[in-house]
Amino acid sequence: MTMDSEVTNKLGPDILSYSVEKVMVRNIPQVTPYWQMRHIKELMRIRRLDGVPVTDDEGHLLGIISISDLIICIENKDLEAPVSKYMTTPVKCLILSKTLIEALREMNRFKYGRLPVVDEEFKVIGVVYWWSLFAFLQEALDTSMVVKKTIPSEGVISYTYQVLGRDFVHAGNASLQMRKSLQQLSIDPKDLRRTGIIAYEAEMNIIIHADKGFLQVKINSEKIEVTAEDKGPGISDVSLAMQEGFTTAPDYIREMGFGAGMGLPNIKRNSDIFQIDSRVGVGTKVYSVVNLIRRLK
Amino acid sequence: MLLREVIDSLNLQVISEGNLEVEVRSGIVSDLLSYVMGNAKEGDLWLTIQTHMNVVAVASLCKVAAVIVTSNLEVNEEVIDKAQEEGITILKSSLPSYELSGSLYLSGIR
Ligand SMILES: Nc1ncnc2c1ncn2[C@@H]1O[C@H](COP(=O)(O)OP(=O)(O)OP(=O)(O)O)[C@@H](O)[C@H]1O
Ligand SMILES: [Mg+2]
Repeated sequence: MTMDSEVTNKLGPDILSYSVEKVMVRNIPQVTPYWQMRHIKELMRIRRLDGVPVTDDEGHLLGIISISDLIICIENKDLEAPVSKYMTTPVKCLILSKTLIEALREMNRFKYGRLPVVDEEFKVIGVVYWWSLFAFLQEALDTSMVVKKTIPSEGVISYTYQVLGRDFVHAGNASLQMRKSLQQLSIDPKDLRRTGIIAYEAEMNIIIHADKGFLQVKINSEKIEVTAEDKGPGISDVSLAMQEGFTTAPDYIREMGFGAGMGLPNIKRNSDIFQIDSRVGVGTKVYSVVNLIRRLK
Repeated sequence: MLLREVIDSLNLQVISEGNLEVEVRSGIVSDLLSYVMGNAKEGDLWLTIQTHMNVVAVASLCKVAAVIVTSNLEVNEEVIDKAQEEGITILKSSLPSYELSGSLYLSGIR
């Protein structure tokens, strides 16, 4: 069997133009110049921070104290000294309106591991750490659909899309992407619509109810198979979940218009074969078949 | 009735323009996305107060003629961009869904 597989991994084009707010750590204790270095040592150890901004009593940025400042202080056996003696000043910082790409550039240019974020009054509202930026980018990479396309020799095409729970920013993308791939084949619009609805509802269920999973579509000349499998809480009573109107979606999700309790019934109605397997604490697998009106060549 | 005629006669604001020459026959009013998914017909007008990204996904799947955001609610740029990309028409009305559907019904869209 020949296997041609291709993995495309890309960051959304606009992700780097997000505000630094997206990646900054907010609840950093307010350190003032008359703190003792001993307390800084403890703060850094307990919170595992490698630097904290120093502010005046009103929260205006004065400087920064980093692990290298602390090392010098420890070398001097001077832990009783005030922060003002060891802090680095002036300090580079970011205004809230800056974007991620600007933060990345600054950090890279000056080799800073952290940059305080200030508002217009120069008050500290958070810190962008290299690791918080890193975590964000990594997550964005994970989330941006990992598309895998495999073409085994027996005339089956298959696409797989990754789906992440609670990711409402990318919600619907996997099924949209799937629909676009299917549009390239000469599938009857009715079949395309049914498949689209199945994929969309299954994707949204992973996003709303589960932690992560994938959506897979397999096409051969006679049928389309859609599989949505997730790691998540599972469903304790599947026949109850299949009833129209049954939902466990929390309020904030219902406010967005999800949680009509119609997703699974919609999937079933649009499928020629429908199977659902779920194990509590493990995950859920939904499998649907759409028989094609027109055979594909 | 053509979508363009509906827009003119009911004073709707076009915030994303898809095909305005489509025939509109009926409509659906709901803010529950999977209800719309299960019940909308191709060519429907969909009246809703939901304005987030998934509205575009549902509208495109159901092939509605247009989404009408009622009660003058704001739709953010990203959603409009996405709608344009997908060729989905989004209209805006200052009327609440109830009143607008009344006017639509009277104008012959049943
Ligand atoms: N992948 C899943 N993991 C865990 N629970 C699920 C999953 N899919 C569905 N459920 C459970 O089944 C219920 C019914 O699902 P269904 O898709 O019919 O409705 P909903 O997702 O709650 O609302 P809607 O789909 O109308 O937005 C959900 O509320 C949830 O409790
Ligand atoms: Mg659902």
